[in-house]
Amino acid sequence: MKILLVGNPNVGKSLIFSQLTGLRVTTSNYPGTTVEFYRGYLRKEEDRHEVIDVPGMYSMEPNCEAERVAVRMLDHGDLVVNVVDATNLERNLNLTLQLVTAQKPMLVVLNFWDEAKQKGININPKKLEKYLGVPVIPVTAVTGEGLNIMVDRLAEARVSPYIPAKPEERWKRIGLIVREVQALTHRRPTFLEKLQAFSFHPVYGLITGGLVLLATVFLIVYAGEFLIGGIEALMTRWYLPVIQKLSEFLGGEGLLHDIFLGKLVDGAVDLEESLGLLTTGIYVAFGVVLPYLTIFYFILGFLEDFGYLPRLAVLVDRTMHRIGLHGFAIVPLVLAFGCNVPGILALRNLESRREKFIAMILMAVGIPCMAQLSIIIGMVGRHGAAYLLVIFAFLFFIWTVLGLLGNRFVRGYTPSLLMEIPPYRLPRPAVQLKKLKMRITAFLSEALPFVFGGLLLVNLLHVSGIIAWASGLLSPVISGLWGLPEEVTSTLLIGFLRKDVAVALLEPLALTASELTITSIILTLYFPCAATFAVIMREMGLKDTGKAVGIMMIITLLAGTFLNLTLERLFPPLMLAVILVGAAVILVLTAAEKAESEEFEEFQAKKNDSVSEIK
Amino acid sequence: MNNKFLVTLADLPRGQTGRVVRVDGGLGMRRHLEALGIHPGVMVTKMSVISGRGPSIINAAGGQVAVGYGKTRRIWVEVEQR
Repeated sequence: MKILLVGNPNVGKSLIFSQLTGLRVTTSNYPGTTVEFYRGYLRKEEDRHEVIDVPGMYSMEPNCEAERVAVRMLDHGDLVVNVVDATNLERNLNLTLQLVTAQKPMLVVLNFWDEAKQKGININPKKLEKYLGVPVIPVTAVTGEGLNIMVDRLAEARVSPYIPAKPEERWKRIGLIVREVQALTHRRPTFLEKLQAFSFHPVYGLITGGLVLLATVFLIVYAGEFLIGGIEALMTRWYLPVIQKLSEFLGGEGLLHDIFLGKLVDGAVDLEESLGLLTTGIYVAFGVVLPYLTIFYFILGFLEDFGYLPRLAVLVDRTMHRIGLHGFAIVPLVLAFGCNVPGILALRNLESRREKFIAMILMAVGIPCMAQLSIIIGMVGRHGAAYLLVIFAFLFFIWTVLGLLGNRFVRGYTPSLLMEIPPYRLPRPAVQLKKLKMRITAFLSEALPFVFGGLLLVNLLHVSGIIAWASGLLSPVISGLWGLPEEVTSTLLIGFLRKDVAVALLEPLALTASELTITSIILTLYFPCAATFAVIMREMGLKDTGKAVGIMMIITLLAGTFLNLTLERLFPPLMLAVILVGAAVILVLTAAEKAESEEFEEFQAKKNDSVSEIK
Repeated sequence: MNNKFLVTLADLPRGQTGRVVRVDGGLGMRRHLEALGIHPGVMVTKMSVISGRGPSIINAAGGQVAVGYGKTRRIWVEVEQR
């Protein structure tokens, strides 16, 4: 039997799915966490039932790709478990009454039962059962309370005998049901509710938003450094001696030595510079990337589950409209800092093709993933924070320019923001740890093969002479336009596979601070890594991917040349960073009013245009 | 004596409650708003607004919804004023 978990976004379907099947899927406190469907199995006595976690949807008339996936899934299920947010019965019943039309055996689960009680919302499940004609079971997914009752009552699921309300009468019927089954007790607002009102305060809300972002950056950089110090000490103490023994055993040279341990540096293996699988490979993955990634995902997990991301989306909405996006697009962009792949997937929550394209370009071109950033922070940071600032300032500048150009030239429309704001919820440490573990495991299982593969490939390319040939071919651009040594060619080749390894390959090249800065920027801009590229192809199609690649090439050529001409030749790094940020801000501010009036006119024009908005 | 005024959600002052009477927009936009509990006949409260032309935070159907400026200008509400 196929069981579908269906419901509004952010009602806890994924958590229930995890609890039922034992599989781990990402859960958060914002609408649109799940964009694909997940499949798992529930064992009940002898039977094994397939359970499918369907992306959230507000109604049977889809508004975005994630919802379209959900509506299509409905045809394939035998039984519908409609997950309903008990704290928000009225809005959730809208979908419930529509689901009844699907004429499938159904049962309704009232999730967040404990939270509803705390909020003084009392729902009578027995009465609701009578009105809906299907079983209604209160549960608290986060503790698992009520889920066994739900499993026991799966057999009672049935097709509702009630004829569905006509669309125009649906809200009246919902109003009637809610009045009958729900009683509210008034009580004082909790601390979290006061905080909720505070985060949207026109002044303090914005200040808080800025502080949250700053705190995140500082935490990642400093806590990351701290962790790395510890891991480095451990590695030097316990791991390096083993590697050195192995090197002596292999005689310090030869093919095997080169591949696994790399070349000797000053007569000894070097974890950073030797470029072997067991030296640089292990060092990059565990010594640099893992610490930063862990902290990033720790903070992201907290913000996600607390419910801050939708608030952030609201706060930045106005600014985002200036670059052709609306506020919610900040969520995929934030996810992309962890890894671009989930970022690209999350674009399915955006309504229009235009928004998706602009956001995809901004992501693929200007957002280095945490893995790449870790290495950049580690290597460039040694030359001083000013050079790091140049990298961030430059990416910010590119972002702004691309966004403004995208807003101007990409055809289509960007609808104004419309999103549900979930209540703040205190994250549960157990759920947080599981999520962190899941993301770290995913990194290790998906990225490690590429890290090792990348290092293996660079050794092979060196041996086969391909790098020498490519260096000669690209030398007019690399040395001529960008002023970089030819050796960086190998990093550009490996960057197609994996960006963190590519940056790490710069370590033995002894580049100057500005060369390192320019190469890091180029490595971010020129092309997405293999995994990201594959997802872009799948999500955006050949044509848009082709356009994106063209844009990347042009930007990379211009950016490298510009930096070669200005960084240190014309301006010291700090000054260049300030100029770039200043220019970006001025550009955004001057373009603003125009963009907004255009948006308004678009809505005027669209007033009677019903079909194109749905498509 | 009570007077009824018709204003857009964009012009509704912060903290005020009104009844939605009309949504000017395409079918897609109306459906999307409806799915989030904003449709003619329903009472909505404007909780906050982010800067003059930013999104508004609306309480509707028991939940909170953020509505962009472009859309708030197309939602008409009836307010009673003493």
